[in-house]
Amino acid sequence: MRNVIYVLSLLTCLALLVGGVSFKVLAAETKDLSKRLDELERKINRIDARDPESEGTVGTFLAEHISLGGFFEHAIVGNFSKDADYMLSAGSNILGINLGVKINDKFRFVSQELVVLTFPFTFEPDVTRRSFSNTPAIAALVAHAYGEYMPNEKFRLQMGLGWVPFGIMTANREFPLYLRRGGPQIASGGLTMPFAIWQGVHFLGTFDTNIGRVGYNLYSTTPTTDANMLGGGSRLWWSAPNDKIKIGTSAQILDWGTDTVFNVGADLDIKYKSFGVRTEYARSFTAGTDIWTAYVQPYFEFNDGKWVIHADADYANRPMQANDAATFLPFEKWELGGGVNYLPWHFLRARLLFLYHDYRGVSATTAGLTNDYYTVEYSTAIEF
Amino acid sequence: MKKIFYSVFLVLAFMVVPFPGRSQQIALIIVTNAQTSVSKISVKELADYYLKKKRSWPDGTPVRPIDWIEGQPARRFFLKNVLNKTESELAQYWMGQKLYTGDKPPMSLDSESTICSLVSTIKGSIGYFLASSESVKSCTGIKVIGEVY
Repeated sequence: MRNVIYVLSLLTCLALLVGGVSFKVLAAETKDLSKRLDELERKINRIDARDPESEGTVGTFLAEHISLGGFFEHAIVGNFSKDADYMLSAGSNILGINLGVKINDKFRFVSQELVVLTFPFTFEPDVTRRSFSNTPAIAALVAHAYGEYMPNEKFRLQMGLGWVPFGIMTANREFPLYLRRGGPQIASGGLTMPFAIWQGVHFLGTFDTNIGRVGYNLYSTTPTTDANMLGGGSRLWWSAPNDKIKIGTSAQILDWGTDTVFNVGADLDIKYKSFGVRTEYARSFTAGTDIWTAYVQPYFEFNDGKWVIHADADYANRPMQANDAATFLPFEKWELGGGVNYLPWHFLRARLLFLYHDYRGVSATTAGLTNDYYTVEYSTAIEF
Repeated sequence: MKKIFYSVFLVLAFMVVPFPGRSQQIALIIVTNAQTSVSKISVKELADYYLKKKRSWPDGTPVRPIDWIEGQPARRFFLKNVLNKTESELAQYWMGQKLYTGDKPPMSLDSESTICSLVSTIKGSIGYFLASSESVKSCTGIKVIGEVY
């Protein structure tokens, strides 16, 4: 009897041991199976996402691929001056919608439409003081829209219109990427140079060399200064093998009434680890006037690029300029300051900017009142 | 006492002196579809393909780069040693490209088996794996065209 009980106990222990091991093996297998099922589901989801017929996706009738995106940028701007009342406005809003269509590996269509609602900062008509206009400026424009034929890297052809490749800030005129809202005066200062949009055809390409990469741009345009005569421009740039240094020169030739405008520029973009600096110079030669501008913008990134601090020294000089269509008052101005960019996510850029607008020469005062003012502004750009 | 001194010296020397084998250890292997005409790729060409600065192989076949999702060890190594960019710089680069040209970053995945199957089936595709990866050894239809140390 004792033996029977002993054998039964032994068998029970054995059964429990085997059962325990089996449960462990089963649990491991279940975990593995669950992991594989998860992977399978992810694959199916990816395949579904690529199927134009599947629910919830956008299908196109022509393209292999279509991409839709854009950005929204807004700002709260405060201006104060010794000889003017304090002004605060939240009236600067830009919505950009980008549409890219890849028709095949050699051809694509790209466009960007901008809708702008802003209260311009301007002179009041009857007094010399500046203020935000009570009449909002509302505009919708096609910033770029072109078909691009890309047989190879050395030669590409764009047909349509787009931002001119003149320098750094006008060539890369994408508002959410600017460290400073609107960019320096070459892009935002109302200098009437360089002419901002190419129209017609744009040839571009890059060549690899032993000492880096060389690129060129050649484009046509119809300037608003004289729509009867085709204008054009070019750019030549060199980039170091590690892309950390880029140097470029740009030129434009346009008609302006009875004059011919010749714009030239040079630019330098350096990035070394967390430190970078951008600088540009541009000059416009026309009969009787000589517009020029230059800026330098050093910046430093930290916390894995989530924070960027930058400084700005930006000069512009536009003497009296007149043609058949309009007269532009002269001004000479320094914009000095700096700011902080915060990018908690790569699609969101929040900026804080401080600028001193220092008018010089004939534009320093109007009717005995200084034109100098300070700007403190907060802006946010969201890309989607 | 002398013996102890020599022993300590030898141990320190072993730790400090870099062994060629240690610094030359392969960290990534670059693979393409077996039908691709190239047999070798440089780090510069690799970066150009993944940043879409170059879009076709020398024979004209479109390049289809396949990337890892953010945070994967292979991608971290690739960013630092091939693209020479941080995640943040890369994100800003693609933001710009999307706005200027409508270009999108390469498809990014998180599974070795999926990347293997895509590279082996899509003509012109290119991918990369950690050299220590076991599953890539059993992947058919691909060929190794480069190594990054």
